[in-house]
Amino acid sequence: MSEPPRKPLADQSARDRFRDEWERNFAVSANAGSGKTTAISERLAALALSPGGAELLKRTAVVTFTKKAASQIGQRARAVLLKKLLAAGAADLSPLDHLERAFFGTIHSFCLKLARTYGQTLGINLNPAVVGEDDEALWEEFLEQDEMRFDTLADTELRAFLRHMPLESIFGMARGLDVATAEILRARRPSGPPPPPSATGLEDLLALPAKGPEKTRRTLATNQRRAREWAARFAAGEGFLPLYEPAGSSKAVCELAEAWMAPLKRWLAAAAAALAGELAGRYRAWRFERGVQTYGDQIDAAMAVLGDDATLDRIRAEGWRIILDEAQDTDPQQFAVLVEVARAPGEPRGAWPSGGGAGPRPGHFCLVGDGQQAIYGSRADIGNFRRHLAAFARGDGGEKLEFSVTFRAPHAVIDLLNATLPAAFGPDRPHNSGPPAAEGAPAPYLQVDYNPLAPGPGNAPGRVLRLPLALPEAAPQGGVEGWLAEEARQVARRLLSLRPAGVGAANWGDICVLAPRNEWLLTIRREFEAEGLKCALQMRKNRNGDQPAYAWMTGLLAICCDPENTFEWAGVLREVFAVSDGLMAAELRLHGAFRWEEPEVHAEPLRAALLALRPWVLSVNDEGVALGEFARGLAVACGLRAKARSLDAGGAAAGELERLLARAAELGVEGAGPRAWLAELLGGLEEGRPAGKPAADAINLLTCFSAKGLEWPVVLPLGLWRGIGKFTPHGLALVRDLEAGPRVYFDSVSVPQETKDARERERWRELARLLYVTMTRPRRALVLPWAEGWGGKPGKDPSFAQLWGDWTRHVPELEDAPEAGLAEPGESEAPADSAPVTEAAPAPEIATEIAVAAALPPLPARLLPHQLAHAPDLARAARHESAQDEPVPVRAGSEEAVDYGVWWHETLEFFPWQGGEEAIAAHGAKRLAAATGQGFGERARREWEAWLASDTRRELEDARWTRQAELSVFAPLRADAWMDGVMDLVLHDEAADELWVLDWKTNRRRRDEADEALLERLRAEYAPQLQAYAASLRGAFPGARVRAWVYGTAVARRIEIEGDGAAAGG
Amino acid sequence: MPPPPVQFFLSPGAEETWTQALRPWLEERRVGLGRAYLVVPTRGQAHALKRRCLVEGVALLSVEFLTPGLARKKWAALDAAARPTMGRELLLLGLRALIARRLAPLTPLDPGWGFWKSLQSDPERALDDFDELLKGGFRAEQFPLPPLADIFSELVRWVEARGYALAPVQAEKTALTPPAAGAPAIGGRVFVCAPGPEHWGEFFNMAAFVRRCGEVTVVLPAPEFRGRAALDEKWIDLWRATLGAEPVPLEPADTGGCGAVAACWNDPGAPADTDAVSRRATVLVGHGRADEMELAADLVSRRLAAGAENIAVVFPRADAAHQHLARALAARGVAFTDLLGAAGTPPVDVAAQRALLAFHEKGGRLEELLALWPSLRAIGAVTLSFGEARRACERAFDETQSHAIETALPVWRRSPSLAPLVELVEKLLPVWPEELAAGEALRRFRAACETLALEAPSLDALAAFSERSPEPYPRAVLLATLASFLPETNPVRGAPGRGGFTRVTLTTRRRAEGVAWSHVVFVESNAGVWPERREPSCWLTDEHRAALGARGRFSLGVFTSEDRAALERAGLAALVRDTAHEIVFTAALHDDEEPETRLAPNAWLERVLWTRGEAGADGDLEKAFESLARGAPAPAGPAPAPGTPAVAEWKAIWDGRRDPARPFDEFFFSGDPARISPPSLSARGIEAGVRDPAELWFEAVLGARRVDWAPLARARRKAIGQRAHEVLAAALRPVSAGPQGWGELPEKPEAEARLAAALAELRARWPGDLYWDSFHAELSQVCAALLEGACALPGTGRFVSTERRLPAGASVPLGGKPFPVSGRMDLVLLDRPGWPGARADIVDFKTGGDDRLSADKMARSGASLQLGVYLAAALSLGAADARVWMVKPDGGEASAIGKDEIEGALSLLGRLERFLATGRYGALTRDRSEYSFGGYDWPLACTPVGEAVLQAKFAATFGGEEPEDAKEAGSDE
Ligand code: SF4
Repeated sequence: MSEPPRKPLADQSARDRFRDEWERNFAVSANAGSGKTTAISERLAALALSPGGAELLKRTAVVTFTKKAASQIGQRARAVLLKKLLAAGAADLSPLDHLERAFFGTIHSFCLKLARTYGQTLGINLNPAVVGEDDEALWEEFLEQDEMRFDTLADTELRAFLRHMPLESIFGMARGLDVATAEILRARRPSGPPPPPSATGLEDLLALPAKGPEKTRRTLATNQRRAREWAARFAAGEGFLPLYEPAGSSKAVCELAEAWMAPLKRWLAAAAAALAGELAGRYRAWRFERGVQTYGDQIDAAMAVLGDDATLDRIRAEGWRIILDEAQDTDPQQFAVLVEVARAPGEPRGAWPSGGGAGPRPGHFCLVGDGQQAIYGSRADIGNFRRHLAAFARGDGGEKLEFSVTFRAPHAVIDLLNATLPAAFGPDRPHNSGPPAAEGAPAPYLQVDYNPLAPGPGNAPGRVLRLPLALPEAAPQGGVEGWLAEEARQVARRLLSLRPAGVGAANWGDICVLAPRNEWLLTIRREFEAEGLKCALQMRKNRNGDQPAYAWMTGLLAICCDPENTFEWAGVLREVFAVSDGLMAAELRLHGAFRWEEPEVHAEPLRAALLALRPWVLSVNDEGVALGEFARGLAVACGLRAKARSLDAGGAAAGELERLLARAAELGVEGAGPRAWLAELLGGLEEGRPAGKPAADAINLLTCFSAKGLEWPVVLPLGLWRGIGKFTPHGLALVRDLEAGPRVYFDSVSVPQETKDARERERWRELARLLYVTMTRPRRALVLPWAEGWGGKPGKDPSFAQLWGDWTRHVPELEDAPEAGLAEPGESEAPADSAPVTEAAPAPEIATEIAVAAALPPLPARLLPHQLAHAPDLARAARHESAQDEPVPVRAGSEEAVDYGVWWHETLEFFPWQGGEEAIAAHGAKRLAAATGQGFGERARREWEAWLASDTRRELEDARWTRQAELSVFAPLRADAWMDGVMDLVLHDEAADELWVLDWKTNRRRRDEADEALLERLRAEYAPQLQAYAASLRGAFPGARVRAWVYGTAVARRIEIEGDGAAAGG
Repeated sequence: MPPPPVQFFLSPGAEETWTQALRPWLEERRVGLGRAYLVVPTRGQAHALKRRCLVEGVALLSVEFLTPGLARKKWAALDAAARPTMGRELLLLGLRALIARRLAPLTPLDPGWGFWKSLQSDPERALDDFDELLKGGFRAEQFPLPPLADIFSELVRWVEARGYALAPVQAEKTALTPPAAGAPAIGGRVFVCAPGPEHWGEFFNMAAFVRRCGEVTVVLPAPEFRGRAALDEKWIDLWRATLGAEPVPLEPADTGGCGAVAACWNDPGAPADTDAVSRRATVLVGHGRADEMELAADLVSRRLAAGAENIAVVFPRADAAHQHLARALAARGVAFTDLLGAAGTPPVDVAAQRALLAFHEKGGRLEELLALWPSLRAIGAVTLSFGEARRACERAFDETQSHAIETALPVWRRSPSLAPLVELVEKLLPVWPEELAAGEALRRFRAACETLALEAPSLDALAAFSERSPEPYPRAVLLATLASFLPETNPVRGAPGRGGFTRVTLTTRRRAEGVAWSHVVFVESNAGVWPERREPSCWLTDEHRAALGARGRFSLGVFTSEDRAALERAGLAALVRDTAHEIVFTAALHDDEEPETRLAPNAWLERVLWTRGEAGADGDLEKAFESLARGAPAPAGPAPAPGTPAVAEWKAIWDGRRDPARPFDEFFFSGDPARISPPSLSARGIEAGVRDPAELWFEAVLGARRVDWAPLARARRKAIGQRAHEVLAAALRPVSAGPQGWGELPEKPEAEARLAAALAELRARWPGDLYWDSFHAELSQVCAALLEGACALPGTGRFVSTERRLPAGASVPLGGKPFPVSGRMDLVLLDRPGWPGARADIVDFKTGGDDRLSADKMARSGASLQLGVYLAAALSLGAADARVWMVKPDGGEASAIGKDEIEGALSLLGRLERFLATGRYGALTRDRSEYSFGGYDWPLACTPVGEAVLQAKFAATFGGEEPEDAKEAGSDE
C-alpha cells in the first residue's frame, strides 16, 4: 500500500482530523486503496504521544477481522510512531512502549478477553476450549446424552410434528443457532394443532386435466393417485406421513402441490424452529458444562458479560476506546459488543444508534470501513453498518468522515468507475431499492452510496482496455463452462502474443486474473496451462488431505501407529516410495500382508521401503522420543524433502512439509508423541490452508473475494458476461432480517415470494459491491475481455456486465502493438533501495577484540557419579542440583521408588549419631510419621528397625569416626574430567588415616532374591559410582586408606566395593 | 542459639560477586569434612559457577550447591515433627471438591452460582494466586474477593484437618522462628549468591535455611544496578532485617562490557552510545525460525573459532526452535550444555493410562475405547487389531446408533470372533460412579492397570492422602487428580548437551542471570513482547495486588504485572551488563506455523537498530528489519540439490501416474493377471468396481480393507435401511424351513403380524425418547410400504428365502467363462424348493433415493448392477427363468429386469472382464469438490489424481470405450 504523500490531498482535512482529534468519535468511510491501515496507525501514534498516552492505550482495543490484519496495524503503528519521533528528534522512545499496552486482535479474541476479565461472577467459562466450524464429534456426543424430550410444544403438537417430519430434521438448524435467535424461535412456537392442508389445493390438483405426451399423462395420473392416497392417509390420522411430493417437474403440478401443502408447511416450519430453539439451548448449556466454545459462543459470552448491569458499568467505567476496522464486515451482535463497551456508564443497553440513547463517549469509538466493499452478507449485515454510519453522519455519537483519495487506482480506472458506477449503485436500478413501506410510498434506497474516487498525487495515469473476444461460429460445447473455456483460451493466446509488456506488466506475476467463483478459476487455469501460460492459483482454502506433504505425513504416521493397516501401507508404499502397484498386489497375494518386521521376505524395491520404515514403526511407542526429531527422522528416511521439492519449484509442497515439521516439534515440547500428532492431522484432513504463492513467471488467479485488500499492476476480470449463481440448500430455511428478526420456512420453495425477491435483490446489490472490489484492484491497467453476445442468452442470475451497465463505450479496445505508454518507468516494481542495509554474515559483527584468540580446547568432562552407575541412582539425582527441574524418568519408578529413597537419605542425613538411644528414637518417630504421611510408612518402619539392629550401624557409630553426611565433591578426577557428586556418608578416622564412603541404596528386593544376590547386584550396579567417590577422596586425603561400601536397606547389610575410581567410566 | 556470624554484601555485578566474595569464600577452607552450602537462585547459576571453578581450577570438597527448592528439603527434613506439606495436585483436588460442593445445591438462578461456576472452570489460576498470596505473607482471609477468601479459608481448614500443612506457610513460620537452643541445626557455612527481588517467592525458604546454618554470607544485587529501585531496596531491607546486619557494597570493577546495549533500551534518559551499541550488538534476522537458528548456530561456531570462552544462548522457553538449534550445533560439532532439556513422549503405559481415565471420564464410550486401543495393542494387551476393533465399534454403532459401550456389548456378544473384545471391555467396566472415595478410585485405577499389564506410576502421595481422607469425591475431580500424577513428558533419551561443561550454554534468562558470560545470544528475540506482560487473573487483579501490597506484613507484597515486567526488563538489562564482549539478537521475519504472518522487531531490538542508525533517513525500521533478513539464506535451506537419480525416478513415476496420455500400468493399479487376479468377487464389489476400479483394486485385488478414521456419527438413512432389511427378513421368512432353507412364503396377514412384532421388539430395545419414537415411526412406515410392495409382486413363486447368500458355484459369465461370485439377496422367491429348473424372483429392498431399475441404466452407468449379477448368478445355478425386482417404500410400482434383458444389462461386465484378463484396473475416482465428497476414499498418503486425467488414462488403456458418467446414479444404499 502506498504512503500518503506530503502535499495536501483532496480529503486531507478528514485525514488530519481522524489522526489528531483522538478525543472525538469518527466513522470513516474509506474508499478502496485510501490507506485505512495507515490512518488508524497514525491515530494510534497520536494517542501514544499524547500526555496520558500510556494510560489511554492500556484501554484501547484495535479490532479487526483477522489476526494478520491486527498484527499489521500494530506493526504499522510502531513504524509510524518511530518516524514521528525521528522527525521530532526525540531521544526518548518510551511512547513506543505505550503501544504495547494496546489490544490488537480479532473481535473474537476481544470478546474472549472481556469474558475472561469480567465474567467471573456470571458463570462464564474462563478456560474454554474453542472448537471451530467442525464440531461434528461434539454434536454427536451431545445428541447421545440428550434426553430428547421437548416442552416447547404440547404433547399432541409434538406427535403431530413427528407424524410428518423426523426429529432429525431440526438437528442441522439447532446446531448452529445463537442464543438470541434460539430464544426468538422458541417464543414464536405455534399454538394449537396443525391446520389441515388446503382443501382447494387438493381439489385443483386432482382436477388438473391430462395433456401432452403419454409419459406426462402417466406421471400426472400417478401424482393424482398418490395425492388421493396421501389425503386418505392424512385423514386416517395414523402412521408416519412425510409431506406430499409430486414426481416429475411439471410446473402446474408443483405449484398446486405447494399450495395444497402450504398451511401444513407453515405450521411445521414454526414447530421445527421452536424445537430447534429448544435443542439449541440445551446444546449450548451442555457445551458450557464441557467447557467448549464455538466462535458464536464467544460473542454470546461477551454479550452475557455486558448483559449484567453492574459489570457493564464497571467495564464502561474503565474507559475502553475501540477502533473498529473493516466495520462493514462486522455482524450486528459483534457491533453491539463494541458499541456498548464504549458508551458511558449508566446508559441503557441497546439504545443506540436507534432508541434515542446517547452514543459512545467522545473519543471512545471509531469505525473505519467501506460499505462499497461489503461482500460478506452471509455473516455481516450491511443494513446495520449503514445505520451506524447514518447516525454518525447526523452527528449522533460522532462524526462521519470520508476518505475519497485512493493511492492505488490509476486515473483511467478512476475515470471509468466514477463515470459508470454511480448509475450501478444508484436508485434507478430496481434491485438497489426495497419494496415501498406502503402503497405509493417511495421505495427505500438500500444500496450503499457510491463515493467518487479521487486520485492521489502519485497514482499512475494507467489504462483501461477492452480485450475483444472473437465470437465462435457455433456456441461451444458445455454451456457456460464451454464459453468460459473459450474465453480463457482466447485471452491466453492474446496474452502470449502481447507478452506481459503488452498489457503494461513487467512480468507475468504482475498480472492477476479475477473471477467471482473458485470453479471458474479452475476452468481458467486448465485452459491457460493448456495454452502454455504458467498459473499461480491462490485459494483461501486448499484441502489439507490433498497436499502431498500433509498426505504423506498422515499416511506415514498412520502405518507407524497402526502397522496392521495394509490399506494405509499400500498408500504409503505407492506414493512415498513409488513401489509399483503390480508388485504390491503380487506380494500381498503371496504373503497376505506387508511383513514389515521381516522385510527380507519381500522382493525389491518393496523390501528396501519396508526396511527404511521399520525402525520408525518399531520406535513409535518408545518413551523419551522428541516428536520433532521423530518427524524429522521419518521425513529424512523417506526422502520427503527432496520429493516435495521435486514436485513444484515454487516450494509450496516443501514449505508445507517444513510447516508440518515445525508443528510436530512444537507439539513435542508438550510431550505429545506420534499418536497425538496423527490425531491432529486426521482431525485437520478436511480443513484447508491458503494455497498457492505468487511467482514472477506465473499469472495470478484469485477469486474476487480473496482479492479484497490486495492489488496488482494489471488486473483482468474474466467471465464478465457470466451469470453468478447461488447455492440453494435443502431442508429448513432460516431467513434473517434485521427488522423482522429470524424466520424459518419449511424449505426454500416455501419462502414467500416477497422475501425471496428481497433476498435476491440484496444478493444483486452485494454482487455490485463485489464488482467495485474487483475493478479497484489494479494499480496500472485494467483489461476487460469482452464481446457483445458472448455466452449466449443471459440467464436469470446477474453477471458483472449486467450489474455494471453501460461500461463498454467508456473503454477503448486493446491494440495489438505493445503500447509503450503502458509501461511507466518511474513506477518500477523493484524497490529503489534493494541493497540490503546489512549483510547477515560479516558486516556488523565485532571480531576485533577477540580475533587474536583461536578456538579454545574443550573443557574437562563432568562426571556425575550418580549417572556413572549401571543402574540409575534416582534418589541421588533427585537431590542433586544437576537434576533440578528435570522430569524424573517414570519408567524406573517401580523398583526404586524415588520418594522413598529421598526420605531414607534425609533420615540418615540427620541421624543423631551421638545423641543416644533417646534422640535416635525421637528422630525415628518423627521421620516415620513423615513416611506415613507420604504413603510408605510400613516399609519405612521395617527398614528403619532393621537398620537400628544392623551391624553396620554399630560399626559406623564407633567413636573413632568423624562423620559427614552428604559430602559434596567437585574436583578433578582425571586430567580430562572432574567429578561432581555428593556422597551419602563419609567417615574419617584421623588417627588411623582411614576413610570410608558409604552409599544408601533403597532398591527393592526382586522376587525370590536372596540377601546375597541383592548385595551382589548392588555392588555390580553401583561400583563405578562408589569407585569414583573413593578416587576423589584419595585425591583430597593423599595417603589415606579409603574403603567404599553400599548399604542395601532392604537387607540391612552392606557390601564393600573395591577397585580404583579412575577406572570408572568416562 | 546466638545468631550466626554474618557477612552481607551488595554487588554491582556478576564479576564482582565472583572475584570479591564468592571465590575467596570457596577457597577459604578447601580440605576437611566441614559442611558448606552455596545457595543459588536456579540451577543455571549452580552450573555456571561450577564451570567457573573448573576453568579457574578451584576444586571443592564439601561445598554443596543448593537451589531454594533443595534448601527447603534440608530444613524440612530437620524438622521432622512438621506435618507433610500438601502438593499442588491434592490442593487442586481439595479446591475442586469444595467448589463442587458449593455448586451442588445451586441453580443458575441463584446469585452465587455464577461465581462458583466460573471458578470451577479456572481453579488452577486461582490456586496460583493463592500460592502467591501465601508466599507474600498473606493468608486466605486476605483474598480481596470475599467468596475466594471464604473458599480458600475452607481449603486451609480442609488441608489441616487431613494432617497436612501448606508449604509457603510452613516456610514462613520456619523462617521467622529462630531455631530453639539445642534443636538440630544444619550448621556449616552458607553463601547466598545474589538472588534478586524476583526470587521473593523463595525468600522464606532461603531465610529458613540460612537461619539454621553456622556462618552466613549473603550477596544481593546492588539496587542502583537493578533499575526498579523501589523493589530492590525493599528486598535489601528485608534481608537486612533478617540478617541483622548492614550490607557492605562491593567495589565496582571496570569491566567495560555491554552496558551500552542495556542502556539503550532500559535507560531511556541516558544518551545513546551509538558507537558502543554498534560494536557490542549484533543482529541476525532469518526468514523463519528455522533459518534464524541456522544463523545462530553459524555465529556460535564462528565465535568459538575466534576464541569465545563462554557463550550463553538465551531462549524464551524450551520450544521447537531450541530443538532446532541443538540439532544445528550438534551438526556443526559444537559441544554445548543444554540447561533447557528436551521433552519427549512419556511411556506408552502413560498414554494408555490417560486414555483409560478419559474413558471413565466420558462414561465409557466407543470413541474413548478406540482411543485407548492403539496403546493397548502396542503393549500387547489386546489381540484384535485396531482395524478390527474399529469395525466392531462401527458395527455396534450402526446397529444401536449409540456411542455407549454398554449398548454395544450385546451386539459384540453375538459374534464369537469378538470374544477378546468383550472380555477386555468387561474388564474396563463398570464405569466409575459419580462419586467415590479417593482410595476407591486409586484401587480401581491400580486394578485396571494391573489387568491391562500397565506399569502403574508411583501414587504414594495419593495413597497417603486417601487414608487421611476417606470421604467421597466427584468422579471428575478424582480423574483429573489421577491424570495430574501422570507425567506429561519424559526426558529425551540421548539428547545432546546434558550436564557437562562446555563453552556454549543453552539456557533461559532466569538461569543465565548473575553469570558473567563472554557472549550472550538472545534467540527468538522478536517472538512476543519484551518484557512479557502477563495478564493477571481475574481472581487477583493488579488493582487487588496493589492494594494488598500497600498493607502487607512484608515489604514486597504480591507483584503486579507491571512489577513483574519491570523486574524482567531489569533482569535482561543486568544480564547484558554482566556480559563481557558481545550481545547478539537473532530474530525471524516470519512465523513458522503461520508463514503469512510477518513479525516485527520487538522493543529492544528496535532500540538497538535505531541506535545503530539502521532505520536510515526515513526512519523505516520495518524495511531495515526486512532487508536484514534478505541477507539470510533462503527459507527452504540450501538450494535444491539437483535431484538424485532415485528422486528423479520417483518423480517420473509420480508424473506418469498423472499423465493423461499414459495408459494404466504396473504403477497404476495394474499387475500380472496371473499373479494378482482375485479368485472371486462379490456382487456389490462388482458394481462398485466397474464404476470405480480403484475400489476393486484395493478391496479385492489387494484385499486391503480401509479403516475409517472419522468419528462415529449417526446416519439415520443408513440405519433405517439396515433395520428395515432385518425386519423384513424376519417378516417374510418361510413358515417352516424346508430343504436347503427354502420354505413356504407366509400369508400376508401373518407377515404383517410378524412385522409388527419385530418392530415392537426393536422399539423396546431403544431408549424411550422422542428421537427413537421418530425413528421408529419412520421405520414402521418404510417397512410397511416395502412389505406391501413385496406382497404385490405379480406371479412369484411360493418358496421363499430371506437374506440368502449365493451358494458356492454361483457365477457370472465373463469372456464366455463362468466367474465365481458371492453376495446376499434380500428376498428370493422360487416356484419350487431349489434353484435347478426354478423360476426365480429376486427382490431387492431399496430405502435410499435410487432410481427405478432399468436394464438400460444398468448398462450405461452400472446403476444397481449388483442386481444384474444376482440375476445372472441365479441362471448359473440352474434357474430356468429369473427376474430381479427393486421394491421401494414410496408406494410406486416395483421395477424389474427379466432374463431376456440380461445380456444388454450386463454389458458393463465387459469392463470387468478386461480388468481380469489384462490385470489392468486403473481408477475412475470422482473429484472431491466443495459440493461433493467425491468417490472412493484412497489411502491417506495418496493425493488425488483428477477425474479428467483418470478418464483419459482409462480411454488410453482400454481403447475406445469411454467410461460412462458414473456420477449419474447414486450408489447402492
Ligand atoms: S466465496 Fe465465492 S468463490 Fe469463494 S467459495 Fe464462496 S462462492 Fe466460491
